[in-house]
This record gives sequence, C-alpha cells and structure tokens, in this order.
Amino acid sequence: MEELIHSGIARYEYRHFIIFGSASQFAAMATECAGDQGAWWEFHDAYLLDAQARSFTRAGAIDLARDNGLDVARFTQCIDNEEHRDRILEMQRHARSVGISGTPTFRINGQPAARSLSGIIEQVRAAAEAVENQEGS
Amino acid sequence: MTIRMATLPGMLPATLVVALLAALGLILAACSSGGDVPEAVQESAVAATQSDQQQEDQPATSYRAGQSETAEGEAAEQSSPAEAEQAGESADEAGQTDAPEQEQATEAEPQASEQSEEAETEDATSSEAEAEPEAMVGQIIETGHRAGLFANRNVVGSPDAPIVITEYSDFL
Repeated sequence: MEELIHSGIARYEYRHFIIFGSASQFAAMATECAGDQGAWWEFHDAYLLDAQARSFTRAGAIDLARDNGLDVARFTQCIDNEEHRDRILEMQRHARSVGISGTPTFRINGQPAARSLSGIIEQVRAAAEAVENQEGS
Repeated sequence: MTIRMATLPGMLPATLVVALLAALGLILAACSSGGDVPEAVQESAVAATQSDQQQEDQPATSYRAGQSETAEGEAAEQSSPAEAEQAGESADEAGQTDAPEQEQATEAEPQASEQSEEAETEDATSSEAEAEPEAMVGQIIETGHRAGLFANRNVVGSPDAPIVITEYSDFL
C-alpha cells in the first residue's frame, strides 16, 4: 500500500464518521483543530491508541495538544468555538449519502471495498494493475 | 672477508649468492625471534597509530553530536505521545542490553549519519518541487507520520492519484 502511495498511484483519505456520540464528535473536532497546526495525524494516531479515552475530554485534548507542542491557547479556542463542527457534520452527511452506516468502512474509488484488510489490499492491487495496463496500452 | 667463487656457466655470480643468503638469514632471524623490530621503527609505528586514532576520533565525535541534535529535533517535531512512549520503551530495552550490542549500535551511528548526509545532498541537487513529496513519503514510510502538503490533514498521497482509498471511521 505504501508503495502505491509512494509511486503516486494511490491516495488514502480518512473521513470522520461519528457513531459513538458527543465524545467521538469532540475527538474529531479536536483532531481538526490539531490539523490547523499541522498535527492532524498525531492526534489521529493518539486517539486511536487511547484505550482509556482520556483524550476524548477537553482537558485530555489540551494535554495532548501540549504534549505535541501545539499552541495551546489557539487550540483551546478552536475546540471551545467548535470551529470545525460544520466540516465534520458535512463529512457525516456525505458518508450517509453514499451508504456508509458503520465503521470502519472502506471504499476504493467510491466503490465498496472488502471487509477484510487482505481483501482491501487485493482490490487495491487489482485497481493498480488496471491503471498500469491502461497506461501501458 | 672476501669470498671468491668461480663463476661457471649457469651459476649465479658470487656477490648475488651472498646477498641472497644474507637476506634469507635476516628473514629466518626475524621469524625465530618473534618478529622483533628495532625501537626506532616501533616508535614511529606507535606515533602513526596515535595520529590515525586522533584523526578518526575527531570526526566521529562531531558526527555523533550532530546526529544527536538532529534526532532530538526530529523527535520533537514528529513523535506523538504514543511514539514517545514506544521510544521510551525501546530506550529502556536498550538499557538492558549487553555492552556488545550497545557498541554495535554506536558503530551504526556514523553509517546512518552518512546515509542521511547522502540523502541531504540528493535533496539539495534536485528541485524542491520534486524532493518535497519524496521526502514526505519517505517520512510516512519510516515514521508512520505524515506532514506537509503531501499529507494535508486527513489525506495521504498525491492529489492526482488514480486510486483513492477512503476510510470512514470513528476514533472510539
């Protein structure tokens, strides 16, 4: 997969799809606020690894921002003002419009992907081969 | 003492035979005495070794200092708490390892430093427009993290990529 991204054949996109309520929505907004300061993936990774969900609270998110060297005042203002709420709700609406109902769900070029990781990898490989064949012909 | 020998056809001249015998004798003597070397030769050899060591030590020290700063800087810029924790665990594990392994790690440092220097040189020679995505993807592969335009927010990869993998997910 990394090879395909490296070679410019594939692109990976993450979309928030909130199914666990306000804590999930808060985490998504905090991640977007971190993204304002270039730390989107740091927050994404931290949230996925946060088994105790400590960072799903305001105080926890601020600690996370501090740990990642972000401008804490700017970050706090962003989460308090819910600056990215509309962005996340728009993602949610779009996901529902294309038939997403659970997480995690993958789509490849807009088409439903396999449920298993190995199946997804196979699909991506097949798509990459198709692209290469098209370019070759 | 003068040795006179008649030089018959097919025989070596007497002086050459004497010289060869003398050389053979010297070789045998050196072998039997355990390879004793004159003091003057020993001193010059020691001086040369010390000089070599000094030359080797100096760049190696500056290498490590430079690398250490770079590594810390990168860690400060890139690492997430989870990674920092993993790094801490790795450091703890490293603390428990035996000394020979630590030496191996130390030896590996200059190599890594040389590689990074090579990479920097390559980056410098190629245009920024080409080098930037390459470096970013390299960073993604090496660290699992994405930064900059090439991995803007929730997207990793070229905007022109023909295959788009979309994940819809919730952090909880």
